Amino acid sequence: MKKLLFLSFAAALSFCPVAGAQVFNHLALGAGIGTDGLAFEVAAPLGRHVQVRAGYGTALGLIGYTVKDISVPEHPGNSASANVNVPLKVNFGMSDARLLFNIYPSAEGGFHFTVGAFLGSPNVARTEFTNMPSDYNNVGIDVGGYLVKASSGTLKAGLGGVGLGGETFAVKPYVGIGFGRAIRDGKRVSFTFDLGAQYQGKVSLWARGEGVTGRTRTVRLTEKEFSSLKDVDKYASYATFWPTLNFRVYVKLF
Amino acid sequence: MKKTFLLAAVAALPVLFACSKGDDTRFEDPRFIQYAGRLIPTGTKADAPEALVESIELTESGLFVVGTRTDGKLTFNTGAYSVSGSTYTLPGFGTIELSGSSATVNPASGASFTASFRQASGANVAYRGWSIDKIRATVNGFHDPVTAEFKGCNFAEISKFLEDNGHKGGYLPSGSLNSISFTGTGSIVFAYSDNTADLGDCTISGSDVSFSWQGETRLFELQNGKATIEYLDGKCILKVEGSLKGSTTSGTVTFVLSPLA
Repeated sequence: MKKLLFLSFAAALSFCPVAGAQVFNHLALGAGIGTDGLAFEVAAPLGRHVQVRAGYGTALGLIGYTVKDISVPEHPGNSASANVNVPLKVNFGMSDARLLFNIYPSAEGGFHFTVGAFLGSPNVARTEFTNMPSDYNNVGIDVGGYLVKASSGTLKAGLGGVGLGGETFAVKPYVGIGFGRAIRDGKRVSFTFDLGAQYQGKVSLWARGEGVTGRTRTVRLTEKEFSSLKDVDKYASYATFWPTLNFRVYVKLF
Repeated sequence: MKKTFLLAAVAALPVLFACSKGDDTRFEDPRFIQYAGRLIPTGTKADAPEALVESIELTESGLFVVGTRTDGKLTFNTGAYSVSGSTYTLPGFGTIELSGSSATVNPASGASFTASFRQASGANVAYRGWSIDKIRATVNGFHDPVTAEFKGCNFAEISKFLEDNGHKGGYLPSGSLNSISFTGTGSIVFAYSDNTADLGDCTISGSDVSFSWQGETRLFELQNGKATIEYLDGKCILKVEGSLKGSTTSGTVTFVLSPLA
């Protein structure tokens, strides 16, 4: 995968400015919406065939679903205790920075390939168990000294992977196609559309854990700490490549 | 102006790097550090042989622990002592007149007796009283290890939780655990809300704590008498492996402690 990322960047650079080409001679501000959240970007040309985009997107949670038929025992250590319904809300969306290169085969056309990476939080979806019984405010899963448990009856977790990133910092390579130019000659406003996929590697559940002194940290929940997660792992493997679809509008500043 | 900014930034670098070092938790000396020590009676209490005082521990944070043997059973009672000159006042017990390494103990009821006094050494930052912020217990024996966390150490709350989760109840004492003390005389004290205590002999070496209870304890049956201690974010973290008294379930209990003055 690292080799693929390297080759993608190499391809982008091969289209980059040749002698005399105009580089960073325009700048546009953009806003977009899609499965990667609500995003704000700046874009600039690197010659006629490449445009660089950098920005930040945040999850809106507009696309989601509530699973209503989940229940847990009122007392987690006592399976004979009454079951309590705990609706699970799932909201899709990401919150991360991105650095992307649009590569245009044609010097004038809008069709482009895009390579780059999304950087930051691993999450592509946020989950929230609500109405948890009070015992779950005390009981949790210990991940390396950080305790993941409910707070005021709500247990939050995220679903995602770190791609090529580190322990909790995601670097997700992206490859896609799209139409439109962030910066067009003679146009103040332009629209673009992109469709692609991010590589996020092994997808896991992530949650906020609290250390004994109150320090918090985002930790990955694995089967090692919670054997029931093996079912999650089975289905999460389908999300190794995360589809990304978005629409954006750009305003050229100069 | 740019030059000034650059110089300021360079000057700030050592500060930034200093902040990136590890935890440097420091504690002020406890208030009674110069008065702390242990008294061992040198005679017998002839007028009340059924209730012999075996020891009096005076901790660095102003807690006294009187060990009394009644009908062969050793129990410990606690309170807060005060000092005026060479006189220690132990409310509910009596007074102590200290004279060098010896002392005269004057119980509120019964005859006075003499005792030897060994002053505590303040060689370890742990030697003081610590209040319980919270406890975190990881219990083995389930499908997955279960970890539960409680504010303070209220036995009624913990007992209800355990019973709700399918454990037989009744093996926790009433009230709550108020404080844990380590002393420079080599003792560990668990002080409870009803002014009783568990007291044991304790050795701290680096982060390793070894201890063994004197007499019958109220709370823990230790698997190996081992614990670890560390300091983080202004707290003392005491991790004890063992099992609750009367229970076959074992695990680790982590006490998060704040220093008492």
